[in-house]
Amino acid sequence: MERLLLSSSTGLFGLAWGLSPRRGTRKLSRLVAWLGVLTGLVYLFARYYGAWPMTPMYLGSVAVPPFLALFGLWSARPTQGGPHWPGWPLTLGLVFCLDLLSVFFPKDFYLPFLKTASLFSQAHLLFCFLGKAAFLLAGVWAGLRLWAGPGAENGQTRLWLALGFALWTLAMLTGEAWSYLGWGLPVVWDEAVIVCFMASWFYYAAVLHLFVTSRWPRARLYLAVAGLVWVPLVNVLPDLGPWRWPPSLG
Amino acid sequence: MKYLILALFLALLTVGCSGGDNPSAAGNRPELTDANVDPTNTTYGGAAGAGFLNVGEYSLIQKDGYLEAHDGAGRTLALVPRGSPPPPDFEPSQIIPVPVRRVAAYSAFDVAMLNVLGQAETIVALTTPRAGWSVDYVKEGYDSGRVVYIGQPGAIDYERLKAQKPDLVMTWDPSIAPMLDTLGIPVLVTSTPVATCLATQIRFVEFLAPFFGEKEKAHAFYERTRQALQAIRAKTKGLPKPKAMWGDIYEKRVLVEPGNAWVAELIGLAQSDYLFDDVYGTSCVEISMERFLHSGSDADLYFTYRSVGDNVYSKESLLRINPLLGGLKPLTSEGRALAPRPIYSQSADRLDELLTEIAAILHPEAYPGYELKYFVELPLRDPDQPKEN
Amino acid sequence: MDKVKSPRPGKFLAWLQKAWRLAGHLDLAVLICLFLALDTALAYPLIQKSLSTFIPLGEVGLLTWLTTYGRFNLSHTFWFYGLMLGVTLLGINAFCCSTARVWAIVGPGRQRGWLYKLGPHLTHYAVVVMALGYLGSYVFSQALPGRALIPDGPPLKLPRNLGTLAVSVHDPVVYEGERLSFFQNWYLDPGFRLKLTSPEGQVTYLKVAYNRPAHYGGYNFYLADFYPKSAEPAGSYKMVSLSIRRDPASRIYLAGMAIFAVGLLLWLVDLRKASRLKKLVV
Repeated sequence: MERLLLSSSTGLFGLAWGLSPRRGTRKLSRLVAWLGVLTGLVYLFARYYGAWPMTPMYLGSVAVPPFLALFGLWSARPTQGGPHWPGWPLTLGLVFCLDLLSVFFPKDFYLPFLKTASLFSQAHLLFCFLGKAAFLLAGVWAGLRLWAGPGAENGQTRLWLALGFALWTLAMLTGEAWSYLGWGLPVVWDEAVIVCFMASWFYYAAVLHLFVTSRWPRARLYLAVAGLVWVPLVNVLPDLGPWRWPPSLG
Repeated sequence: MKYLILALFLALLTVGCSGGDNPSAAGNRPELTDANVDPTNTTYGGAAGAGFLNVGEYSLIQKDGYLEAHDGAGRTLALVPRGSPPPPDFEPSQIIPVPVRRVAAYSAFDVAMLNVLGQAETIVALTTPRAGWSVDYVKEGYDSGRVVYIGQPGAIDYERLKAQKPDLVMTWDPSIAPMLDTLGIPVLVTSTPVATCLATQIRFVEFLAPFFGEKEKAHAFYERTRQALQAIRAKTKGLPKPKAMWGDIYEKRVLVEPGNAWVAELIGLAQSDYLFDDVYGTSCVEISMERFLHSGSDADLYFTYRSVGDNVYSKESLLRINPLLGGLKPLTSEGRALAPRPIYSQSADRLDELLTEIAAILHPEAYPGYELKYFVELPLRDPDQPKEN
Repeated sequence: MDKVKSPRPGKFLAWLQKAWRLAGHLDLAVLICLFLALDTALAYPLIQKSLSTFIPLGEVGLLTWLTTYGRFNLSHTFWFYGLMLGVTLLGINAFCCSTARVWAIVGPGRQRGWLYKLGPHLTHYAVVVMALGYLGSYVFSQALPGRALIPDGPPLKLPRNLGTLAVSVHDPVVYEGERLSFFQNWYLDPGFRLKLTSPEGQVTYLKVAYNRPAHYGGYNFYLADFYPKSAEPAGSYKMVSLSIRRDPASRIYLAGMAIFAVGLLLWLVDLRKASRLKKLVV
């Protein structure tokens, strides 16, 4: 049942992406994307419900697409040009690709463990998803700025970078609080993925400093766009399992 | 300048992350090369004479007048030469007089490691009765009255154990530590939170050697195993890769050997694909049923945890125990299923032979005429059952 | 006796100012952060290959770890030295960068809304405080890992003449749901209660569970493990393993985390206000 929800969500995002480049079908694309978000969030709820009070394991790759789509829908609100927001097809393309990765490289076979039964653990995970989605959207906005000039962006890259960094920092703080309460240490080295988390914090600390202080005007945009590669490579890949063919769709 | 930095950064990123693109359990273990299983090697796990030795989760640190040992559960012990004053800040149950002369052992692995070091004579208490042993040196210990049975791991007769006056209890079960602390008997936990990798399996005797002062025998064991590994690599090089899995289903639980376990690593080294290579965790790690059956539908070989004789005689008998296993390809006529003989778990001291046998199972074409000693290949139906026409 | 020629104070001050500016330069902060990003991203496959090298870091202390596990596994641990160097430089940079600017914000000529302008600088100082806290924690914390007890069994003697510690079981919580079939009858909360008896005979009872440490006499008691995990079959042996830690520096990094959160909040509010103002102007 869970897999059916995930594959439905992927299919809907794929359809929305296919509809997004054409002018006449962009409104429909938004509607289909909303359905994709809804299905994706129900899938997440199912995973949480299945593991509660513990935290479901390795959700990173499957949780980011619906949140990224949600942020994309917010960016494509009427004041930003509505369905004609030029970043819409790129955002949906990213969402679809990330969801496809989750379908073909599932890592949902680990069972949750008792120490993850903590509100700090749950909050850490949620802030991580939101942070990754915000960083990716900042990359989309920076790409638009490089492609279409300053008028296409209007400070949105900085906004999403700031939001992403704030969320990522909240994830760091809640993760440290969990680590302190569970193990008595600020950093627990039992899980290698901790350094991937640090890596993105340092990366976006650098990028954000450049945006806040208006330095390296073009280089900082390239760094923000490189986030579209950095985040999937450093923060999504560790949450993927082995290649699976045929994928389990339901 | 900044563009140069940016370009350099992106180039480094591409290079740096290429090593991390396979988040599998295969990455969670030390790479097994001739260099890092060499006990005198300084690049992995410490150096001889440097006052520090690190074998997987186990470590030894030279301190003033004693060796500080960290066991598989992360507990700290002090190895103190007999007659020397005990170090401060250690409870009596943390102090092990060396060389150790009397040992109580829980697992067959511990017993086999003692045999590697030529210390089978030090065994004075076991948790498996004589009838459960296949190896002669243990049977002889029982027959001579030196070894006594102290009860099953969950129901130890502590009075009997105490009467045997062990210098050390080697166990996989950390839960006995508090009781033995009260008796003042040191405990060495020889199991770890994550499965033992191949390098640790081979080098564990190095960690154990200072307990008995038997460094040369530890090195001889290492050398024998290393040569066996080299021979396996040479024999299986370039052969087609069979797909293997190791695990079982018990009621509601699915347990498998993760990719970081030594058997999984061996399968990889012997030119084969281990289907749970991406799974990381403890030995017998629990995963979802769905994943187990999915991998099983693709496997050529299946190793069960259940020993021959444990109601296991054939593929059919395995299916009788758990019909869900019917989804595994190796339990049909298209694949092969292997069950360990009881002697398998008691033969860690013959690791070179075990490794060779597993390689021979994976690649029978490279080992013509090889006769299985530690495993049994299960027939489709029970041997004594008449065939259907 | 010749008069020793001392450097001119003006020149020295100018040099110091230049060094200070350089140490707190924003480009340097960006470069250090990018270096740390690369360093830690590179570390992922290295840690994966040798997790057992890094796990003892919390138990044996930083200095011992650096001279044993770190030193003898350099091919896997070199990045950790880079991380320490980078964080130290970042701390110095953040301190120098903010100290010069904070006075301008809070000084006599301060403007309206100055408090919000302090946000980024608070986060900078928080980085310094957190880094010092981590360092203090890894260097000075005292760990007594793997201290195991039997519930209702003999007590354990605590260090620093704190008395004794015993464990009892009260109202354990068992998983009764249907969703996790493998988890049925497993303990969600084994219900351990610590009985701490001071040398004077004063008794204190404290609850301990996963993610819920107990605090007593400057020590924190963390539940590390317990047996059996399941309430069925009942009546078998039981054990509770505690990790007992004394870490005065934990308050420093916890304070750093709080300062960082406050600084971040102030900065976000300031950012929001600035964007509103921009809209009004436009």
